[in-house]
Amino acid sequence: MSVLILMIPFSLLLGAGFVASFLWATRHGQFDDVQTPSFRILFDDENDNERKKRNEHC
Amino acid sequence: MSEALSQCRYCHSPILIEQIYCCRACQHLDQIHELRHAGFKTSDTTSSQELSFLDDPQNLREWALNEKETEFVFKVSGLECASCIHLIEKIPDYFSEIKALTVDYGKAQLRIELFQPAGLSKYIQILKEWGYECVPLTPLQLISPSQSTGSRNLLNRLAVAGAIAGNIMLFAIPIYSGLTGPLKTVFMWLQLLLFLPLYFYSALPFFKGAWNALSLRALSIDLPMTLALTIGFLFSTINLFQGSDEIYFDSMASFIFLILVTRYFVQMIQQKTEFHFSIDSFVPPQKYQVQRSGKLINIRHNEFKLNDKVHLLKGQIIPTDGQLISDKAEVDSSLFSGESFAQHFSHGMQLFAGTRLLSDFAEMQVTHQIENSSIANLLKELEKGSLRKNSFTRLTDLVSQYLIIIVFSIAAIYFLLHFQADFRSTFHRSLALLIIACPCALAFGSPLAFALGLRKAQEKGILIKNSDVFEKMRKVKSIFVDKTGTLTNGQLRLVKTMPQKMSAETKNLVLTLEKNSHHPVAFAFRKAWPESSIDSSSEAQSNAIKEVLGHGIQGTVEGVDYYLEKSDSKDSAGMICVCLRKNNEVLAYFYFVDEPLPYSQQVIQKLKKRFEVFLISGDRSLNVKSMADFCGISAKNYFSECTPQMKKSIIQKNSHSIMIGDGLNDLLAFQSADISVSVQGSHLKNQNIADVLFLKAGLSPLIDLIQISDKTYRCLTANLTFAIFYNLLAGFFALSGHVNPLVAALLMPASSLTILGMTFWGMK
Repeated sequence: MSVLILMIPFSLLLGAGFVASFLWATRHGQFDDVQTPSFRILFDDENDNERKKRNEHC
Repeated sequence: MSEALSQCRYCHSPILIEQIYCCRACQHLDQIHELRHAGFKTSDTTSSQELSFLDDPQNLREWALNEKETEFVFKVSGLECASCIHLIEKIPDYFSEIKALTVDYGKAQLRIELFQPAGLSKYIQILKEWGYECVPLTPLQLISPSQSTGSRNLLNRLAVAGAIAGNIMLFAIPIYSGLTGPLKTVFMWLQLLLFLPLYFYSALPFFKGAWNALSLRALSIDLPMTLALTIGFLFSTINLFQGSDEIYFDSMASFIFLILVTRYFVQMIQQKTEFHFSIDSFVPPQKYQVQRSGKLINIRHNEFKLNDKVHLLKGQIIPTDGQLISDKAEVDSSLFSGESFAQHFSHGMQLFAGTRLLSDFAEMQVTHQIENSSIANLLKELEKGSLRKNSFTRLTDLVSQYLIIIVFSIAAIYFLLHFQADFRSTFHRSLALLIIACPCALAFGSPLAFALGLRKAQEKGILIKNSDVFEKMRKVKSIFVDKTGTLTNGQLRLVKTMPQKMSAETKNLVLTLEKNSHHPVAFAFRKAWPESSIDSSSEAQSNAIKEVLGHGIQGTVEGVDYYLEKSDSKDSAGMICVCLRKNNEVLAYFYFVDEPLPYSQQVIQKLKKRFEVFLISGDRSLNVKSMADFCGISAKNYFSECTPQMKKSIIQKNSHSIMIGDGLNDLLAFQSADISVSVQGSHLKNQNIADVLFLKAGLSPLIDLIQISDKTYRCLTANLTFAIFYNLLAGFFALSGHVNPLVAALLMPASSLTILGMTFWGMK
């Protein structure tokens, strides 16, 4: 019972923290475009070693 | 109904069967396993002249999104699949001066950030060579209401609402499970505390909407919602202070959350169906020569004054509407008419912004500013239509308004009848009725269904300007179709020659005579005989080739006079006949036909099963009859040789009709039909007035449109039925005293989620 006096404010603070981080993310444009990142997963990218090799050739 | 499809060899998205790849990006990525530098060097120096305005510091200052002038946004067209994004986003790997380059596929935008301010033409040049047209956007254009700011706001409110609703539930469920004692009181007060930011922040859009509706004396769904929320809030707070159990914070919180979720969805969809054209995608920011007070100066594309005399050079896009003051001009009007060959303009005719000059020089006097040009008006019209609320939603508002009035009256009557017997219980029941009978289903069921319908249509290449179309489609009984350009290609094809075998010399001769002609017959000849090219010797000896408008061509080749002209030979039923003669001796006859578009016949057959199909055309009876027979339209249902007025009067005799057309002569008909459809390649004025635009060729989008309308309407009636049923049931429960906070907490979200689910599933 007495632990609830500690837990309830803490959990509310935690919840408020998450809401705050969501608002921060929105303000920095994280949710403006949710479609294009889904395409980016499909890219076949060369990794850093391959790029270094290619740059050496050219 | 679709054309024969195959798959792109690289990304497997659907393409027409003649193609191998869907876009150059796929071709690049498939054939070149390592992206080499070669693909990123600009080869064409002539087109870089055209793009030099992208290096102009004055322009760059206008477009820059930040102080340092290093961030820019472009509108991109030509994005087909993920490969396009992949390839474009690879560009920074090869140019170290680019800090970041990202593509937004949904909005078709491209954001580029440089380390230092510099010119952009070389990157845009590369993109252009790959087939992506880019147009710079100014910061003003980005902060339009439907862009990021508006949707971010809604998203924020939605997030806060969701977090609060969940937490309120956390404190409500223990109470429903039987919590008692001081902790119960604490939890109830916590619910009130959490509800405050919800009511005063997340619910604000409803209050604003209700206030707007009141001040305009209009009906809106926000009114009953505001009422329900406020009454619920006050009622619950008073009860809390009086120590009673009847608090409804949890059900109201989840209710607000669900409505905000729906509104967010609708806004997302409406953002995508926004027509991605702005004026600047049609008129590039070039410099133009203008004569003012006797001097020739260079001014920018947006600095024209009325009555300016503009000197247009070959290849320039006409910057605004004006009158041609030089003698003649040839213009590529494909923007408006869809016709690929040049149109001839003579002194005094009106020239339109967005078209391209093909002759070497023309002088034009500005008659309209770009904001008032034909193309600007078309864009405004399209934008207005997509935002306008349709009558059915207004009907929904009306229904929900009556519902609230009826519910109020029932609650009041019940209270007055019974309050003397048991005040407290009667009061609770009446108030419970008001809260639970909230017309939430109607509030978001209809707009969501329409938004989904608009999006589905857009995916099929159909642009609908307002959602009235879905409702009107239900009542349509007759379909009127224009012939040339709608059922048919609009271009001629050579089908028969007499004599059957044409010698190379004759072909040569004809092509020489037609070499400068832009007449459809000339194009048909060139398309029919691509292998024959004009022999240079006979070309050198040809002179005095004269085109007599309406008759044909006469010219002298190697000293002999030839005539190529229209003839009315008796074999030419339904076909256009041209004969070639040398003095009075006929050398050959050529027969042309305006080909029906693929699937025209099948589409008409399908339509006939449900509607009455009519063919109206301005063409001669023989031609119209042969097309009608081909499509299966009966003799009493086709009308030939119609003037625009005749077309209008025929349609007026039939109620509930759709008119499908493409030419200027269909405009009057459009205004008298219930729904007007403009096919691909139509004249600009048609697109201005029509309710629906087809982006794909032919009539097959019409079948898709009918299917989507049916689906949307079915979904709406299902929603409405459910809403009425729910309200009756809930009302009964409330008055019989069965509704307490627990029941409300269950019923309200359940009904909202059911409507949401029904809409999404019904519009799949």
